[in-house]
Parts: sequence; structure tokens; C-alpha cells
Amino acid sequence: MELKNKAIMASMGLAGFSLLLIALMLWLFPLQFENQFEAIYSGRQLIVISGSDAYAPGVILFLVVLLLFSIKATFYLIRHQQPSVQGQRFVKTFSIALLISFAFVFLGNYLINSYLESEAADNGYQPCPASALLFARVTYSVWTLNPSLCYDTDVRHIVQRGGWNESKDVEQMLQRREKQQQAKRQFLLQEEQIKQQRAAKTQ
Amino acid sequence: MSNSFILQGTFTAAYLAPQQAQRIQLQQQLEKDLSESQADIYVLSARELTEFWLTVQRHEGKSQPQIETTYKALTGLDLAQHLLASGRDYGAAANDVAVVAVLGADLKRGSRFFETYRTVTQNGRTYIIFKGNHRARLIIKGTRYLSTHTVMLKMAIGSEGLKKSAKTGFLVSVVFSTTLHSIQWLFEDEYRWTNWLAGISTDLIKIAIASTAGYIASIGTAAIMTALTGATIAVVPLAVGVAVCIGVGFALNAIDNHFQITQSLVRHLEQKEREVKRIASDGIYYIIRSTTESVRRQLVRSAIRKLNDLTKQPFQLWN
Repeated sequence: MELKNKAIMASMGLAGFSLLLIALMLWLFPLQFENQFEAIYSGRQLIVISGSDAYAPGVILFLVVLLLFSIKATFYLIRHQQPSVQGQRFVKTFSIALLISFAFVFLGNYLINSYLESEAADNGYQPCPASALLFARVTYSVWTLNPSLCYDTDVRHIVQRGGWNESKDVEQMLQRREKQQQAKRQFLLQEEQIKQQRAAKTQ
Repeated sequence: MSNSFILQGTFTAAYLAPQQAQRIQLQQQLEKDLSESQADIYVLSARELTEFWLTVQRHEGKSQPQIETTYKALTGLDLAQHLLASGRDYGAAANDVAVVAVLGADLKRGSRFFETYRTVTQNGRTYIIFKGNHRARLIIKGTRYLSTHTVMLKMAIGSEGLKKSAKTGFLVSVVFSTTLHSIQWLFEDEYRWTNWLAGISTDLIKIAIASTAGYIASIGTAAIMTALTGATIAVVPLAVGVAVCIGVGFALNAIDNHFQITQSLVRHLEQKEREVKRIASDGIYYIIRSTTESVRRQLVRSAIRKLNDLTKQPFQLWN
């Protein structure tokens, strides 16, 4: 009886936990993917793709199956007193469903990552070597339009965690750098013109 | 632990109806088994099985001649010769098959050490595979030859097994994360100690939360399955644990990215570092200024002393 009560508590707890995690993931998953797609189609010089985000759809599917299992198990345990053949059949069915959805976690991750990488490549991005940037963040990969940025000191200083803002910060830094170089070119051009004018006057 | 269970069972049986008491005892035994259960799968060669059988015979109090007679009666082989032959690795394969079959059946009798077994022939040698109970584990661990030679696969299905899996996963993640962050700190100038400390701290918290959630979910699933069927399918709680761990990890990572927790921690540490540097530089400036002042005073005093010595008269500014 004690074992059964514990099991009822466990199934109710598991149902609550699954529900909470599904809600959390349904809130966070679109945010993450929105950021991924925004980065890929942004045309920014350097973007970060998170490989772990692609687990989310599979995990949500798995959690939905787990939620159904725990809800049905709660009602089943309340109704039946002893382990039965019917219970074995019920567990067997849900075990197969759980294992299939578990396989989808990894299959989904592979398919989504392949899609994101092909989209990035189609938009002209090339992957940076794994050791160049975000070395400690194994599930993140850095893609760039200009491969020399993978070894740029300023870029290394900015890209530390793989957050979405880092890609924007890099873009701002590159824009500032471009403006500085333009100003420098302008200054040198003006200097050259003044020299030429002086030379013309002396002649 | 087992004595308390027996005492409790005896006490209960005296006051309750026999059937109910028996059911309670069975439930208690089941709970104990589940909390401790870890199925050990053993793979033994003919020689190892013979050693196992010999140890069992000795434990049962038989003398050496009695053991040899029983062995000959069962297998039709001389024990000493068979051990010598299999020890030198030239025992006939046919003998191995016969020995494994006969001794396996003898040990299986009354489900003393295992309930079912399989024999497998691989590369001309015969092996017996069985799921051993706690008695088999005691025999194998208590025999020097068997404890070093036996191939044992632990199939974690109980709460202890799941706890061990969770602990191993947690430790692997911690070592992995710490090593990567440390390597980056050592070889990258732009990666400062603030990044290292903040990165490791948040990673460890994420790993701990995700592992705990995965462990609790797998334990819960195992408990539900046991209550429904009386047994559990080992792989399902593990799959639940892994999936929940991935899910919680994703959620924590996304929250970290969304609210920039690690970056805020890095900024906070850098601010603290600047404050400490400022305080330290103020202190150093004070020390330098005080030292200079003191040295200047000493120089003035010694100059006056020198002037007094030169004039041989006390140096007076007024008469």
C-alpha cells in the first residue's frame, strides 16, 4: 500500500514537473529559434549557432508522452490495487512510445542542426575552426562571412559565451572600425591634396 | 538491516492475519530489493564456473574428497586433471561444454544463485552467462581467482543504480566543463579569470540542477513502473533521466542567455576587480607618500646635526 501511495505521488509529481517543463520550453524554444533564424538571415559578419537548441522539439515531444504516461498511470494506480497483466500492457505500450520519442530527441537534433547549417552556408557563412572561438562552449559554433574574423583579437574579446548580443556587438565593433578606417583614409587623402596644392604653388 | 526486517515482520505477523502479514512482508522485501537492486550479469568460462562450483561446495562444508567424488559423479571427469588441463588452456572444448552444462544445472537448482542461464561458444571456448543474485555476488567477491577473472556487467535498475548513473554523469560534466574553461584560460589572452570563474560557476549550477532533475524523474518513473507491473524496464527510467536532463539543461541555458546571467556575473567580477585595484593603488600611494615624508624629515634632522658638528657650536638661529 505504501509502495502504491509512493507511486501515486511520484506519478502526480512527474505529471506536474513535465507540465512545468513543457510550458517553460514552449516559452523559451521560439525565442531561441527566432534568434537563430534572425542571426542567419541578418547578414552580420559573424553569427553564433547553438547546437543544443535543436534538442528542444524532441524533448518537448518526449515530455508530452511522459505527461500522458504519468497522468494515465495516476488514474490507473488509483483504480487498481495490485500489479496486473493490464498494467504490464499499459507500461509496455508507453515504454515503446517513450523510447521512440527519445530517439526523436537525437534525430530531431541532427535534422534541425543540418538544416540550420545548410541555411547558414547558403547565406555565405563559413564555420570557424572549433578551437578558434568559443572553445569551452562545445555545443556552440561560430559562423562568419570573413574567416579572418575567427582569429581577430577584438572579436575574441567580445565572443566569450555565445550569446545573441555578442554577434551584434561584433557587428558594432566592425562598423566602428570601418568608420575609423574611413576617417583615416579621408585624412590621408586630404593631406595628400594639401601637399599637391603646396607643390603646385611653389612651382 | 535484514534482522530489523525479520523482527518487524515477525512482530507484525503475530498480530495481523497471516495473509495480510505475508503480503506486508513481501512488500517490504520488494521495497528493500528495489532500493538495493542492481542486476549483475556474469560471464564465466568453464574454468571459472568450476571455481565457482568448488567455492560453493566448500561453503556448504564438504571435504576435498567429497567434492572430488561429487564432481566426478556429475561430470564424469577427474577434478584435478580437468583444472590442470583448463589452467594450461588445452582442455577439450567438448569437456567445457559438458562441464558448463552440468555445473550450470547444479548451481541453478533451487534458484540458489541464479534462475536462468545461457551458454555461449565463442572462439572455441564455452561460456555461461547468468544474472546473479546477492549470493552469487558474495561467492565471486570472496574468491580471489573469480574476483579478478570474472567478467561482470552491472545493469543498474534500482534506485542505487540510478543514483550512481546520475553521479557519474554529473562528475563527467563537471570535469569536462572545468577542463575546457581552464584550457581556454591558459591559452587565450582575451579570456580572463573573471570569464573563467563566472563560466565555471554558472555551468556547475546548471549541471547540478539538470542532474538532480534527471535523477528524480528517473526514480519517479521506476517507482511508477514497479507499482504498475511489479518490475521495471531498466532502459526507460534511464531514457527519462537523460531526456529530462537535456530539457532542463536547455531551459537553464536559454534563461542564462535571455537574462545574461553569466555576462552580468563577469561584469560584476570585473567591477570588483577594479575596486580592489583602486583601493590597493590608494594604499600604495599612501605608503609611498608617508615614506617620502619620513625620509625627508630624517634628511632635515641629519643635515642640522651635521651643521652643528661643523660649527662645533650649537646652531642657533637667534641670539
